Amino acid sequence: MNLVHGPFAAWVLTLSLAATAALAVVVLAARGETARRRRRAAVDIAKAWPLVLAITDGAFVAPPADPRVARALGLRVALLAHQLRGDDRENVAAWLTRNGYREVAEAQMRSRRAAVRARGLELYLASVGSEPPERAVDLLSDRDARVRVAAVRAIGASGSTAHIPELIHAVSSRRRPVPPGAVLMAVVNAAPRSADVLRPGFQSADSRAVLLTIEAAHRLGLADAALDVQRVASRAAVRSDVALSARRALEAFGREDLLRALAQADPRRPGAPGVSGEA
Amino acid sequence: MARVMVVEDDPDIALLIAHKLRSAGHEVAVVGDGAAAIVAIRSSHPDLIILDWMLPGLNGIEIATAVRADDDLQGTPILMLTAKAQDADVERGFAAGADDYLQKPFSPRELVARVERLLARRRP
Repeated sequence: MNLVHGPFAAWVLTLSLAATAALAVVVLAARGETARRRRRAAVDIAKAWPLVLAITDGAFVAPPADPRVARALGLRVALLAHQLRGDDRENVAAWLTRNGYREVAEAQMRSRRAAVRARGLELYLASVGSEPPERAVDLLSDRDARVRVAAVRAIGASGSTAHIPELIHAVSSRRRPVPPGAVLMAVVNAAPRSADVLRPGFQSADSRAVLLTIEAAHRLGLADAALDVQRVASRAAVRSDVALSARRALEAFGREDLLRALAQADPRRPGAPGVSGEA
Repeated sequence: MARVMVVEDDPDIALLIAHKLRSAGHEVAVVGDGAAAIVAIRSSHPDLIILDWMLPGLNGIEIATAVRADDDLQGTPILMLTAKAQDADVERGFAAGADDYLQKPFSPRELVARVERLLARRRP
């Protein structure tokens, strides 16, 4: 019992104070280091920014000799690329490609780690500019679902319409499908000006792919898809949600003639006026 | 030369826009917060406002509405620059008082061209 007030207590108290002091020193040192790194990063970014602006203007900019500033420059340029269109985007993409960032991105896209593959995809996309992002298509069948969705989003955000058929096809994959909603958003973002690139979607045997294709044509106002939409709605085994979506699209396109033709062909078809419910 | 106020909370985008507009010969002020933007707009009476939608404090729609409700500012051209891309968003932007609407990702060259057009329209 005397231990509570004896030399042992003093020893425990001393030990506690020493441990607390040591912990405080460690915490303060860690905070100091974090603050120092932040300040250093801010200085690196400040040095890189004039170069970033020069790159967007299309000026020749050699990578800085200081590796930290060079890293800050590459990161800023890659991040900014996703916010840009037009000449500035092309200038940024050309600089990234010229300075080896595309090779880095393609190597990252082959990584075993999903997070690295996704990061590589973003960098790859920054470096391709308005070129069709060929290599991103490979990741539509990636073993990781998050990488597949990242690839869908990236292809849509690239503004390239060349790979819309592959995007729509990816919905129908048995082993590695992508969500139809993500593909719909990507197609809308890619914003094709004609229904030509959507044709494979209308011809798909998968109702999910057909449905998202109709929705995309509708949202994009692609009236040249009207006949494809009507053909889909005329199929004998059309699903009710597909038929309803087709009808809404034809209404939006102002194609009363095609709507009438549909109703005359089969007045009891789902989506026809006065007919609702499940197939 | 015109005085342009850029209300944008992404510092990278704000720096880029400011650089492009300065290169085109304009004087540029940047504000990254909605509430601070209202104060800055009322005190400096810019010739044109470039307005992001999603901002800390007041959002771009609220700022546009406040500018249009202010007798001293209601003629100031507003260009909305935002990632909001749905048709309904565009309609809402114009309904709040925007004179032009540009979606992100954007072409800085197109942005500058639109700024020049709005400024030219404003001049007598």
